[in-house]
Amino acid sequence: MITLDHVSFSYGKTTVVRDAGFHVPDRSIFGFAGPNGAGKTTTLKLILGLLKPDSGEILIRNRNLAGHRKEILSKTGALIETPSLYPHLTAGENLEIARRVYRVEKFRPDQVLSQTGILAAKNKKVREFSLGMKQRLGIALALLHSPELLILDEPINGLDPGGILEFREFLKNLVNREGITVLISSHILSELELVISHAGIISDGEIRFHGTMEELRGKSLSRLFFDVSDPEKALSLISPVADCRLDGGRIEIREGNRDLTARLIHLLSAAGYDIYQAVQEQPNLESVFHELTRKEVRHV
Amino acid sequence: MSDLLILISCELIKLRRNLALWMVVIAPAFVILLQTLIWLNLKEGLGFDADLWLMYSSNILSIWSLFMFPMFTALVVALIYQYEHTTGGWLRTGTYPVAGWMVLAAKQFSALILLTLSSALLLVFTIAGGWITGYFHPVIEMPEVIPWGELLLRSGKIWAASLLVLAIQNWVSLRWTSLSVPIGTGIGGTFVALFATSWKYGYLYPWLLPLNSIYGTDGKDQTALLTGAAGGLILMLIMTWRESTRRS
Ligand SMILES: Nc1ncnc2c1ncn2[C@@H]1O[C@H](COP(=O)(O)OP(=O)(O)O)[C@@H](O)[C@H]1O
Ligand SMILES: [Mg+2]
Repeated sequence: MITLDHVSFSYGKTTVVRDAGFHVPDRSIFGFAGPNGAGKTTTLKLILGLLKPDSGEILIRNRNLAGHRKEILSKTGALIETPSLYPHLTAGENLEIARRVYRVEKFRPDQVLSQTGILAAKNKKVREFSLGMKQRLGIALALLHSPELLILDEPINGLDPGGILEFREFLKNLVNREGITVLISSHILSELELVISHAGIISDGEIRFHGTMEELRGKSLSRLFFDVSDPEKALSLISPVADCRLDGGRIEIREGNRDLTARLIHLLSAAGYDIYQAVQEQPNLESVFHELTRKEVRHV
Repeated sequence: MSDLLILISCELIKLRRNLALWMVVIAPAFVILLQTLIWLNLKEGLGFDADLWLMYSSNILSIWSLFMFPMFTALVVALIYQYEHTTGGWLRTGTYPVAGWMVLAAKQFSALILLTLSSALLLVFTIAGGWITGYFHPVIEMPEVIPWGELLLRSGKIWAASLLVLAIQNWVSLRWTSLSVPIGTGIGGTFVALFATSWKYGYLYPWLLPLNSIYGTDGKDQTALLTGAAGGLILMLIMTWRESTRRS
């Protein structure tokens, strides 16, 4: 659906997006994560043509926005930063403006309002809306013209935990039912983890990872703990095979996986040690995220 | 409907429930009220050979073009752009499936529509004010025959010569997100106009063009009209072109 190839962008002399490249497959929910100020919003603005890249190419449905602006944008829905709403107008009037611009049929505003659960507030001025209601209206606006591509910039910001849960369900249903592609950003990867199929991780303007969630989880370096008889001696047996140390009477292996666990159990039991317990820490996406977004990391 | 017409209609939706729309009525009404009160308080008549309608409207057009029009324009145009500046609306309009220049053109057209509306109301209110004056004043009798041609011509010239100031206000309101800059430009522009009259080329000062387009002598009225109208149109075209290529 979207392909970025060697895209760079600077505000004045500050490079904000550096040689970025990733691919958002059709019908995927692509989570775009990175710390605050990493360049998420800027990248989304570049994709939507709100900013022009200094170099590189951005393709949407294999087309360049410059040459196919009307065609691409008429099938794209976006919510960038805070929802841009006219506070002195009602929800219905805000939607009516978009309805005219996108030449959408008259019944659609009510449809998206009930889809987002704010139909009752149709004739209420947006000024009187809570933050959560504004987010919902922002999403209703983005969905009004039944886009094939939905771009949401930190839509979870400002939602309460119940709202986040509800939003995830909403997003899943939407993608299952209408088969659209969603590009969604957040500075907290774990909030997206449960809904996304693909992820891109940006830090300091650089794409540090992009691929499927399985690939991302595969990157997780989870620790192994062995509880064995005579741990000091066992440690010297293991240390040529794995990066390990003694931790409170247990042996800790820093970077482990299932294969390594099996190998070490063989090794230890063959040497006559008793193994009381072998534990592999659950892969933790948040720690991978931290690892990938550390400033020192340059290439992954 | 073409994209541009749709965008203009959207601009008009945004004007709902807004002070800007009321200014269209209030600004001309205020000038007429002022002039009517002045004439109602005149002790004597005004001589019977003078064309009272033209006299009556002259004062109105002077107050309008020197004070009310620049203030009105500064405020109304600023409000049209404030809708986007204060709401992040440019992020939405920037992803509309339309040519980039149309969004800006629609804003300028809606500003022009409001100016035209209030100019038309000024003329309608002039007639109403004249009748009221004639009816209530003991001596002043407004002639039965209204010089429509001359009144329309003068209103039209002022309207056309106003385009340059309208264009300036559009550009300033677009480039500065703070409301105080375009309002300050309107006040400053009007204030400087009071001094510019004494300078040799002062009649070409943008804020004096509307007035000079009807009162200028020795062909200065023609020059003022042309400068205001053509200058305004050209500036609006340049702005639309420059700002839409800068933004996308
Ligand atoms: N209009 C701007 N002018 C200059 N710098 C900007 C502008 N907008 C954003 N930046 C800078 O660009 C970097 C990336 O910003 P942004 O894309 O908004 O990050 P994110 O959305 O990931 O929080 C930040 O360092 C920010 O300060
Ligand atoms: Mg952001």
